[in-house]
Amino acid sequence: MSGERVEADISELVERSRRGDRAAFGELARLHQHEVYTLAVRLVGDRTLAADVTQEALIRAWKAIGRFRGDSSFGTWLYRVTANVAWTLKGRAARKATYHLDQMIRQPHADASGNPEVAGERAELRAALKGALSRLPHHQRAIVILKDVYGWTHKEIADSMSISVAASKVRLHRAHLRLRDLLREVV
Amino acid sequence: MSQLLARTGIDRLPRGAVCRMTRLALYGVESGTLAIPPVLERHRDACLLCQAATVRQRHVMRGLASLRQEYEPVPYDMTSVLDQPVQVASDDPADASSPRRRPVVAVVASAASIAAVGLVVVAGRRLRSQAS
Repeated sequence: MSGERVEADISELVERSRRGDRAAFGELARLHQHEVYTLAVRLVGDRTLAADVTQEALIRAWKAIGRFRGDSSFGTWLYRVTANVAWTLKGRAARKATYHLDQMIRQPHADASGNPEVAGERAELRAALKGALSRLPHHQRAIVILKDVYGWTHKEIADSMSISVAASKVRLHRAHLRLRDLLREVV
Repeated sequence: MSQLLARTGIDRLPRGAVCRMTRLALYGVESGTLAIPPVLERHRDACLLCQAATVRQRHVMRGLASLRQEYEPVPYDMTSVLDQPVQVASDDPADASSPRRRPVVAVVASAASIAAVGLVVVAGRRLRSQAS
């Protein structure tokens, strides 16, 4: 199925969901649940809590889908809901994070170069990055993940984390410097 | 930083210090905290070490972006929760956006309830004084 076809199907599902079609939203949720769960795991650092975040995010998204205006893609909107729920539940949870980013699995198409050597280097870099990310303080890691991995703007991050844009930039800068130190011997 | 460099004069600084400043500025540019001063940009274009650092930094940024392609499969079907009639605190996703909003709302609610009680007390006194 082509990308355009998938997009068209998602748009149709979103439209039906906005009209209250629960089955259509269920299909949307099924399509996005892995991505939502992945973001949740990355943000809260705990698989059990991430499952709660995912479910809560899906419920909130279903309740709010009628107000989804389509300014951004449905996926982006769902990510924003997920991040908001993650901060709330993370704040409530007293448990310590036990998750390590190097436990993430890799999609087979992540290396599209076709060159095994390049693919190997990229895999090595990704493993090093995950290790380094897991050693960042939570508030820095969250910003690196949202900005550098998911491409959020500082404004979106600031709104989501209830911090100023300047604070978001400063935290990202510090996180980059820390990453540079952690990756000094690898990259 | 530009003014500082203009006052100090980059030529008077040790080469290692300029390289460190340049790399720091590069990370600042990446995180959006500052624009690289022209004098450091010129240094970067002339310094092989700083050019190598730039390449390494871009490598890291590309690596971070590539993490987007990875996902973790859900341990069980998360959508089953949608089949249950679950009550959530609010159906507005924005309500969950601000961890600081809840205390603020609580304070405002407390103040409003205190004001309401005050109004009732004042109104009661006035009524009593009018009656007497």
